[in-house]
Amino acid sequence: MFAACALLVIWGGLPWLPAAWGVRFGAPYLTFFSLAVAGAACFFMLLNWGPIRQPSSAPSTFASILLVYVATVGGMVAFGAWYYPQFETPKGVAPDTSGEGAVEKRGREVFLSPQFGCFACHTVEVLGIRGGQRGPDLSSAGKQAEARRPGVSAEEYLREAIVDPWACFTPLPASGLVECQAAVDPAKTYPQMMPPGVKERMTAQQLGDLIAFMKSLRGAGERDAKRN
Amino acid sequence: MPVDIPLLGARTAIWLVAQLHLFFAAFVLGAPIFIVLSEWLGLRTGEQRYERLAQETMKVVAIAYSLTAIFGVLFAFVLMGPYQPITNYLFKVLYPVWALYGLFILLETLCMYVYWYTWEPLARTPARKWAHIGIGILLNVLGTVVMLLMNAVTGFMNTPPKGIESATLWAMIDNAAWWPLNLHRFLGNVTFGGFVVALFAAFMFLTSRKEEDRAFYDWMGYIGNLIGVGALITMPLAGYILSRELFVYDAQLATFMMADKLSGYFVMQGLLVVLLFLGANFYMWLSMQRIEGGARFAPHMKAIFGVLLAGGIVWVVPQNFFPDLLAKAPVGVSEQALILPERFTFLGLMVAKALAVTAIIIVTFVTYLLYRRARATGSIGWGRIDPMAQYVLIFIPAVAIYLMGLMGAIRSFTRMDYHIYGAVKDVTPYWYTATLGHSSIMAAVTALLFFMLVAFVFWIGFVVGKVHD
Repeated sequence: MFAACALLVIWGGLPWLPAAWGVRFGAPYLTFFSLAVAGAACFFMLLNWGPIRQPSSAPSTFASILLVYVATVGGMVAFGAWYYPQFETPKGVAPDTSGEGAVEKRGREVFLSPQFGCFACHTVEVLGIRGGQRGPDLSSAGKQAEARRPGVSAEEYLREAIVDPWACFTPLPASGLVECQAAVDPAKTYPQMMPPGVKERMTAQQLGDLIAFMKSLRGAGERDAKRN
Repeated sequence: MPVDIPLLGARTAIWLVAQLHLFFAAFVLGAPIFIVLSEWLGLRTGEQRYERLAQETMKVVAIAYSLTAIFGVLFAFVLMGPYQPITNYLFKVLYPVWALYGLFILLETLCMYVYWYTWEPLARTPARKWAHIGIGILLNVLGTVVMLLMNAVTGFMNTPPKGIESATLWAMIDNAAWWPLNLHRFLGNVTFGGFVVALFAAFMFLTSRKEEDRAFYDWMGYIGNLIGVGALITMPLAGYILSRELFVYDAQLATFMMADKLSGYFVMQGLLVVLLFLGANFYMWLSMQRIEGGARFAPHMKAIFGVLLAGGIVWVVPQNFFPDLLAKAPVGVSEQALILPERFTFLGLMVAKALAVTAIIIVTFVTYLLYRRARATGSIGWGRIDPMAQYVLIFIPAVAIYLMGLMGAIRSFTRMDYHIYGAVKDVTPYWYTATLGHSSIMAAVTALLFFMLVAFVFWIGFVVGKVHD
């Protein structure tokens, strides 16, 4: 009864909630919750099942043991195969650190530090740093920063983008825009998901190093030319 | 790549033999810890069942020992063929470790045979029994040294010291992952040993026809499960320590494990651990019913199951349904549908997961407190348990063995496309990270093979002998 009500809420209620409330789950989550409810219902049924009979012969004992084992492991395989239809792709190469100065090197360490977790959302493809994809790829961050705000230096823009990310929104690569935007527009800018409070958690030295590292990121072509 | 293995492929071949070797190794290293404890308890309390538990488990260990060695040799064969370059490298840089490993394997084997074959002769007087327990302790010490040596090699492959070319031998042994791995595997071995003993007891209970045998195996299953669950409770912390060391060693591993290709594995891990806890608590529910007046705790336990299931859902709910960081939403599916809605994003964070696992551990502890309470007020009818409990004791090791296989795959995959992370590239055609679906099948195959082999061990060691008698 409880399970039926829960399934009714999951499929009959949740999908119809206004999107603006920020509580609408996608179909994979609804399937996931339904499986959880069904599993919980089965479990409570098992609790009240009552005593079962012990197998009377050796073959039936072996068969029942094997059945439990195969069903358990088979269930796991089915879940594993359903849950993530992961495909196999090559991963990035080892980070390229050649041509980096001491400050940039320290900045890269700040970038890769789990304490700040920049890499969790940002990739730097040009260096082989394969982080997250939620934020922009920072391969050309230094070059782009020069043009993001007319009249503002790259260093100042980068500082603002890190400590006060709501001041100006980064355009999506596909938008064709170069300058950052005053208001968030899902069609043209990245949603603002930078973690707040970076200034409080990062020392001035760390922030300076990180900005220097960002400034040094100028895309593959320029980086190679500089190194040569 | 020098040679490949026909039909199976080199990776599948090494996966099978290495995993089976590790399963048996975990059992033969974990079980003797409580075999000795049980023997000591038998001597101290004078209760015969402790002695019987120790002796019967040791008989299983003695047979399983040969299988451990056989799969160790097969593992070495595959290493020498398709994986010759990396094997040569490991032998070259860690030569003293391998030499010590060989020596300690020999000593451990000798000690194991002495321990097993002197069981009866040294049981005649308490002084001799103490000597026998001493041999058992030595066996555990030697086994632990063997484990430490191999963990050094495994840890070295995962987290070699920076500046590997100029690193000292000690720096290679005492690498970042070594001690966390030692702790994790030690506790894992005890958990595994406990659950396999419970599996053995369930097997014997279901094949026993005498009341007294059923009473004994019921008790043995309870003890095995208790040891398994007791060690299992500490495993999330040990796993956290190991992961943390990996994160500190190289921050990119954090993304790779928790947000990229291995994130699905951790969802699966959550599900499996929740199933283990559910199974353990369900077993206690059934155990409670063989205690006089134990049924009065049923309503409390139902509340506990409610917390367990709720905690389990929080633990398992994924932050998103993307297989990895580069994946795009399939055509016709919006990206929003594949990530948690804005107001529920906290469910995907470690804080929520850690709270959920803490709640699960606490309520499991409460279950055991309730059981103690029930025991204090009523007598236990050993052997009068619902036979379903024995199937639960089969279910739990099935999940535990599968989990161990899958977690081993995670540790191995964190090396990405390296044999030795950041130093020696995997240049075989199997360098890539396998999908969760593929790894699930591999874990299942190895778990089933292990199960069939231990069933053979139980049958050859106990059922055949009994029929003969």
